[in-house]
Amino acid sequence: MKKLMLAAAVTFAASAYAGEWHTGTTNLCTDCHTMHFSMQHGFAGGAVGTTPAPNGDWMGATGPNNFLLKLPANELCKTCHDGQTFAPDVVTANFNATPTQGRSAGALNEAASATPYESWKGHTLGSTTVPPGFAPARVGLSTTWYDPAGGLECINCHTQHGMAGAYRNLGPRSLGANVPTYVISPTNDATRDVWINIPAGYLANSGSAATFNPYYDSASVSYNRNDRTVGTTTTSNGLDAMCATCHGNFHGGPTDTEISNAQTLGGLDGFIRHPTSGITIGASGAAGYGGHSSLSRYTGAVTKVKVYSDAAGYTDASPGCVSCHKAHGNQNPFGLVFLSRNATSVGEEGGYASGQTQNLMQGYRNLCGQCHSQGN
Amino acid sequence: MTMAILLPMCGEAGNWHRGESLVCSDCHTMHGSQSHAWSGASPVSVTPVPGGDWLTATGPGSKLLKAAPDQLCIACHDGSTSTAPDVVAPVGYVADPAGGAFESTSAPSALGHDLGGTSPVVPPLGKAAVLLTCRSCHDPHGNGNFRNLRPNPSGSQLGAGATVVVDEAVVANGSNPAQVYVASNLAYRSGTSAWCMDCHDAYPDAVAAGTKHPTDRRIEGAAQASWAVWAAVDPTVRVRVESPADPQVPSADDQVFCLSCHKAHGSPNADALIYADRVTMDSTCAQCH
Repeated sequence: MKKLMLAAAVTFAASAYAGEWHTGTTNLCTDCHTMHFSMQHGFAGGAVGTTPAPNGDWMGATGPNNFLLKLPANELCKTCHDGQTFAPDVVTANFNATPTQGRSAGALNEAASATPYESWKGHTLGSTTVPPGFAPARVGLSTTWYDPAGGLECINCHTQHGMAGAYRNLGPRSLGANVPTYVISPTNDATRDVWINIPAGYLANSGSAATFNPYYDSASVSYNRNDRTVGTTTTSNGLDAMCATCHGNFHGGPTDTEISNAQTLGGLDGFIRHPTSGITIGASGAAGYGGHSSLSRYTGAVTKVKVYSDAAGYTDASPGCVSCHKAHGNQNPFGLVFLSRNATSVGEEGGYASGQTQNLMQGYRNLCGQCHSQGN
Repeated sequence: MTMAILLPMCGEAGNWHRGESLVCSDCHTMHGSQSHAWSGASPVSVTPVPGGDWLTATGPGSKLLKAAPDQLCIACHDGSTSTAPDVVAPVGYVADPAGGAFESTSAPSALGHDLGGTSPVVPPLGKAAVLLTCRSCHDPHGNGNFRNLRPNPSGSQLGAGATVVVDEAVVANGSNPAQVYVASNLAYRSGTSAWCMDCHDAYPDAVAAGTKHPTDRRIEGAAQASWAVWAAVDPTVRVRVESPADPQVPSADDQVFCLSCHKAHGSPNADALIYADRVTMDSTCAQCH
């Protein structure tokens, strides 16, 4: 067995691709597909396991399945990404050692997930609920691109066959050039949407939490500001464009009618939903529409939520989806990040300051208080 | 249930809607959407729930508010939420709330201040038009003042404004309005008349002309008032006075002030007047005269 594992590890290293897994040469057909849903022996002879093995040398226990999958789609993804040591765990509690500031996307849940990862604490695999704010046309997508009746699948957000240059293989492909891009380097590339601040040349599928944790650690990930218009919606980061494919009505800035009545209500007081783009924290007037927020308060925070910014001193910082929510979810309602600006520690749920009452109301205060000084 | 237990514990000593008791989600919603309660229950309440775990059926609203500004305040303060003081008549949580009550939440009233105004009007004995809303007088984000009163309710920002100083024996904790918002809990020390006159700024001129009753004038030693009469008033019906030197009432520092005769929000009587015996204005006058 040890020999087999060693051989597999060597094979992996040889085929690794700098960047995301499941893309380019690391997108292995046999990881997920089986031609006949039949496998009498392994690639090297011998028995075939029903748990994932490197390069797809395994077979699912239930099938045959649509699209020649070894298991139904979500089950197939979970086979590697829930409770395994060799791949990041993205469902409920982390089976592996926790990154220093938690998983950057947090944790998905399922309808039957137990406390503290109930189904109202983020995205729920298999959920047939119409996404809140569903308006894909706002980012130029067909209203039928996502069918809630089919249940939420991992591949609704992550392109299962990879997408060169796309952060976490995020899609959908119909977003084209507007999918979030990334750079892996100790030096930022402000033209990309996401900066993963680890040594260059990271090889995905490195096989253990000790090596892949930095890649998925919230502490390593930051977001640049790249303003653009996708469909009819302004966005300051490709990640927002991706979120807007399902939650379109919740995205945009001062010129987006679902976000702002600025034109009719007089600018700064015109927001009817919290902006996710096109504003600058603390910038007054039309220069930034951030007059209700305070840049000095944000920059003065010891522990900060994520913003879209690549300027020194955060002078271009715009809030976005990931400022308040974990993409997958966490242990808070709506996957919110209840992070105090003086948190004693930072985790997937956020963190409280010393002496604070630790309840949801204080959590909300902490989150809003990152940028807003009202009442603080 | 857990939230209800925690709520009283998170209040800052002083006034509600301040410090830890200022909960963003009480009034604001980020997306004008809430598919479930914080507990996962569905549907989410459309009536106020302490802590903000609710969402009105209308919206989204300007400033990310869950309802139009005054209506949002009234959503909790109309008697429907037992943990919040009711400021709309008729009031049930106490017999005689210190601030009185508004007759209406939308129509002009002769019985006190009006809510629901959309354009500025010149107040009685005022010099400039003022837009009157809940927020004209109370800072929605709290400010550390008594009842979160704004120093400049007129919005003129002229002068330094006035700070109302009141001693409270019992402070709000999110569950005790009947103990907090009653005259017996309060000792008015200073600033009230000056604060009122930020809007009613022609009043001092009328007093100087001898056409209006003076304010902030000691009862003891007043030529037209009787200290002996005031000192002998039945404490259960005694009107309020301001006591700059000590909170004791009656005592030599007692001063007549706006709230000796008027309720701040309104009363059952014209001009928000206080009838000490609940029947006649004379009974109020007779406490000093």
